[in-house]
Amino acid sequence: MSVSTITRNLRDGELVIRDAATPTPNVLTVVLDEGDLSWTVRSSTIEILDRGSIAAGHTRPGDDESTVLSFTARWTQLIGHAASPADPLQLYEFLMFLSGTDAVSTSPAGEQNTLQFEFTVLDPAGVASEKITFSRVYRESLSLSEGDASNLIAFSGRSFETAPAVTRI
Amino acid sequence: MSSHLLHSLIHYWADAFPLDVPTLYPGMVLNTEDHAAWLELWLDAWTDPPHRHASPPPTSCLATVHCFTRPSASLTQCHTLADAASTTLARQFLPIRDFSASGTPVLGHLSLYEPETRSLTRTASRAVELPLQHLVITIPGRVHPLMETA
Repeated sequence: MSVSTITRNLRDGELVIRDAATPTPNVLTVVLDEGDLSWTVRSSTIEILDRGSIAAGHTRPGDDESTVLSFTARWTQLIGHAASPADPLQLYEFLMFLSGTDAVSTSPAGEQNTLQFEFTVLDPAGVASEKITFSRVYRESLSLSEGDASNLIAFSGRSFETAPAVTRI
Repeated sequence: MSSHLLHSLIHYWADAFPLDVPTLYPGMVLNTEDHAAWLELWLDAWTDPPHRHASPPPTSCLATVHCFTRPSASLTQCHTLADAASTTLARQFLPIRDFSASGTPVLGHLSLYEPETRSLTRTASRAVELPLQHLVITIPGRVHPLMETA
């Protein structure tokens, strides 16, 4: 296959959040996100200088760094399933692991609660669509703010892995 | 969706506007010679900003009401019409229905926000006679389509 020159944009993406409930995970497709998902793969390097000289110095790999990610979604109702089991799961209650949502962490018991984020980017040509999977995402902050057109929910957190897994679908 | 939006807005206006003054809707013809005052209701802009392919479009729109009164009417009648139009549409949350389908199902909702009123009355070119009074009310809005929730 030739290399695609078709650039992707926010129209091509879809963010799905799932947990580790068995036998059927809870799955929530984020349909009102702003299309501003962002993540940063970080790496740490130890610089060892030789008497202050870079030319004579060397580097070593530093500690692993977790992946930082964030996104923003427009705010509808905050709770659904937590208020009534017949109601569908809502973004806020899922991210907050609220009681009554039955959300199950994707990390082992005793660790911080995490969820799996799956970001699918469709190839407009239908050839090289890809899925980016963040397996163990934990919340660092959840900011809720008012706005003229829409109130917003801004998620910021980390995935406890050095990089997400990218696969072709 | 835009035709349903317009149709639903007209239905609401026909029921809710309190004054006995004819309103022209898009596509209608009215001989204004017979009337001292009339209104025109337009839905004259709607915009879909960039959004996810799987997300409902966050359509924004602009509803406009033109108020016309002849010099023979009271000098304040145009403002009375404008006030009534603003009150009728401002901060309303209306169902968008498919009136062509059985049961007129609700397809979504329209939020109308705060109005802005401007005068387009022109006096300079017709200095010897009183001009047609013309006030325009614009109300921005947002469409909320119904959607399936996973």
